[in-house]
Amino acid sequence: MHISMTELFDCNYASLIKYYPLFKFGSEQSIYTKIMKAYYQNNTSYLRKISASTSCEFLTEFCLFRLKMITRNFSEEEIEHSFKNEYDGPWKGETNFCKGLALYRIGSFVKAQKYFLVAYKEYKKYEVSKKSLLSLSNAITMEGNINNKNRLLSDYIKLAQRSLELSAIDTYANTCMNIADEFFKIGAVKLAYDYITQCISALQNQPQSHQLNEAQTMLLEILYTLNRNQEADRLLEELSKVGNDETLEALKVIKYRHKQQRDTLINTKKLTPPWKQKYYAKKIGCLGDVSNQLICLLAQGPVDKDSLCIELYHGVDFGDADNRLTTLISRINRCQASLILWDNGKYQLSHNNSVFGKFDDI
Amino acid sequence: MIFKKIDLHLQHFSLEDIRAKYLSLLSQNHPYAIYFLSVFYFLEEEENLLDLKSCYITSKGLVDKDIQIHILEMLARKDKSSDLSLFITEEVKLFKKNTNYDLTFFYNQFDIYDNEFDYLKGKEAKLVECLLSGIGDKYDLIESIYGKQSDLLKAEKSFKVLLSRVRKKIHCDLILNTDGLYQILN
Repeated sequence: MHISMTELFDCNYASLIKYYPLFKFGSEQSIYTKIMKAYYQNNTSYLRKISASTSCEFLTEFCLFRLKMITRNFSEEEIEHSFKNEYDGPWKGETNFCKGLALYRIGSFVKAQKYFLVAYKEYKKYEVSKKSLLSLSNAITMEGNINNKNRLLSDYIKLAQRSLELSAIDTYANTCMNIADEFFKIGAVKLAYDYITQCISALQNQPQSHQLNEAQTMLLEILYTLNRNQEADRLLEELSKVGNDETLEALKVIKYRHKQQRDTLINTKKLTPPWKQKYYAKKIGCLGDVSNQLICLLAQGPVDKDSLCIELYHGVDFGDADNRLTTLISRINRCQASLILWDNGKYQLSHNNSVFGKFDDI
Repeated sequence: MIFKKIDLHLQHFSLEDIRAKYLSLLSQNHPYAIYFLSVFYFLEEEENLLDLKSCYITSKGLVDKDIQIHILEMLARKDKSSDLSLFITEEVKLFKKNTNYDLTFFYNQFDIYDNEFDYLKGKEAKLVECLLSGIGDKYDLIESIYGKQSDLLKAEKSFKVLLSRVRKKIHCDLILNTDGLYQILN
């Protein structure tokens, strides 16, 4: 059984654990796998140990870069000047991907998007299909960060479908988390709950991974918003034992938002962009079941009135259904200013234009 | 015989033997590959506790309980600083509930409190859990259940109500108050 470097780049955390024993001790594959496992586990002390014991200059730099991605201990300039000896082949995709992720973490979204698009192109060239999709997904997510109003829900839904086709679990989980976050922002909290639970079940075989912690933190926020306080308290207790700074800071935001607790100062530098937004945002109200259904239908793109009436009020007299729909939309628009628009004979969510095609053609 | 469990006490297998066995089973896509992968991480002298935990979780959907408990034992033996003790004790409780395995090893290594009052939820469960863990002082119990920042007067009243509710639900004689300290007869 042989796993090439290209195939290894495409591996998620669970696959790295599975394939690690295949590699010769000290080989490029073995060290890369060790670094990535430690990175996914947020194990900074082990990353330090690996970097100190690795003789390959490039892998040492890669390891230290991954370490800094956890501690966020670097500037925009430092990130851009990393990996100066541009490595050809699929490594070029990997280094650009790292730079994109690091820039995202320090809030430099425009530059992050640029690097994700390079990574997307490079990975695609070498048929690193899952990672190329993840890069594309991240580039799209950056669009939402550059302009907070961009919901990009139709793009995320398309990405989720494509990642399922490719069995790209990480991308699927990421996309579900983005969808959950967007639904949450507009008050469709039940939809947000559905998507975040899908995300968590996709990550079940990646215990204590960074991505799982992030998803569980989002679930915690949703549970408190839904007033499912007992479940939330239990999860909060569990997550408080996680030794990862980003998660712990996010928990402080949750305690501040829902329990009015302000134990210690919140270090906003350690908050991820979505949590920074939540820290400054007001608590949101939850929309009802039919509103959630309507938003779910509109998330995928514009829909005409008749189809909405049939979907939402099946079996109800058409005139009555029409009235109910109009009332429902005006009620939602009162809670969330101009969320649903009427354009070209169809209803649609505002700021939900697709950028998928623009990037996918690159 | 396709499968023979490894004696964790003797450990007379080398990492290379295990690796070879794992690769052979992996190439056949055999479900027992997960067991040898676990043994590999158990024997490898690296920081790989979470890798082993991941193997255990994966094993739950792949192999029978006999092998799962063996992997859990490896995890417990490798967990020198008790980072995963909470996770392991919860898993042991599930084994106790659903199987007849001899769990003495786990009971010797971890503080596992058997809780026959699983049907209680929320603060009621928390009260019993605290009592089982040996907390007996009223104010310590209040702090554990309602948190440090709760209003003490209000919390004391709620505690009384909670206590009487739990006494009704289990058996009123099971929670005693001796010399000002609460205790539960388990």
